Amino acid sequence: MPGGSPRVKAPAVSQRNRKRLIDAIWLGVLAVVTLFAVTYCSQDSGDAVAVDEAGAQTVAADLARASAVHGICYGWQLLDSTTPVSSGSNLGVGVRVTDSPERCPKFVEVRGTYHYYPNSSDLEDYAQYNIVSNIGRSTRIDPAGLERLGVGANRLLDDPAAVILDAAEALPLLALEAGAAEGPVPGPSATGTPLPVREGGSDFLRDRWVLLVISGSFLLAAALTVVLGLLVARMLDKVDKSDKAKKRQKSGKPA
Amino acid sequence: MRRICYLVAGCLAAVGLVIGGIAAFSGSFSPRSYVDKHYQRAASRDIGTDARAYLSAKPPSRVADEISRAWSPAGRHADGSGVYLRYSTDSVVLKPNDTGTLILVEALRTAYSRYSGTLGGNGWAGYGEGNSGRRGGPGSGK
Repeated sequence: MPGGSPRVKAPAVSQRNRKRLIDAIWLGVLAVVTLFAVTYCSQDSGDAVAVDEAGAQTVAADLARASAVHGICYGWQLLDSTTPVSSGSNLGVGVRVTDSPERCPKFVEVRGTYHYYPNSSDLEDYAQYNIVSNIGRSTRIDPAGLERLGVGANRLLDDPAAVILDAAEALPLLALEAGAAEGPVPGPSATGTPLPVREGGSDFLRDRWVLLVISGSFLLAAALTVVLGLLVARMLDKVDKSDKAKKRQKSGKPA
Repeated sequence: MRRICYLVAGCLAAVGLVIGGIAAFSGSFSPRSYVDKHYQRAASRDIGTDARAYLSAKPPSRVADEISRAWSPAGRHADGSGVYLRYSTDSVVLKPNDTGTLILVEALRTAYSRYSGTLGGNGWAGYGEGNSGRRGGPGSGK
């Protein structure tokens, strides 16, 4: 019987194909899960940090003006743990104050160190400042001054590339306050048309929004409590009425 | 039951109104009035009718910290020439003055044109609460 054999084999072939298909689906799922796990574990929590070249040039120029007035070299160095990310000084971008002792007999350098751990790590990301100088022990420049100027370690952690430049710009002011330098640095003369000043929003809302949100939450909770009270009271009234009606029915009195 | 709900709602509303009242009426009403209340007026150091001058014996970074804590600025900039705090319609500029600080409160428009050499390159974006940073860049901690 020539036609009998295919009829018997057909279900076995389709079963094999089905099994292969299921195996393939399982393998696919396994591959996707493995890929996801590998990507997640190797993923860093931050993007690569890159210092804006034009911004760094501007800061180097500002530091050069300050250095000319104070007779002190100012510079910065940004490190990802121990790996240098960016450096510069009044001598230029990429040139550290310690690179040229003959041109910088006196120097102040802000060193910002940060590190982002992968999401899978238990270790916490960190950022910290260190101000290194050779201007004498009696005139120590405290990194707390950077906190007071709004460029503290928390902001360094948020945006190391931008904030290290802001910290470097603040160095001459901190040196002046510490008594290491004398005389304020004159601002640069304006050249060209300045960018239009950006919208600043409301001072009141920016400053008091937390209190306003808390106050609004309490008022909302009060309104919801009133509504809840009304609903519960209405439900209780209904229950009371139906109970009374049932009692009347039982006692045979008309409603 | 209804009475209890009204009582609770009344208490919640009272707390909300007290907190709202503190938010609206506590402290000063603007950075300008805060400076006027807390620092010594120095009319002789005014810049014409544009900027009102005040003096403090504290260094600029401490004065900047005090003012910023009282009123969060929309933008900040600090360099060797001083500290520049930007608000909605006003600016507060802190200049080193011997061991103290000369505080100049000025309308934003005139201050911006006056200090555009320092601030013009970045539109006074600064590193204030309302700005992500002068030069931008990544920033995502864990």
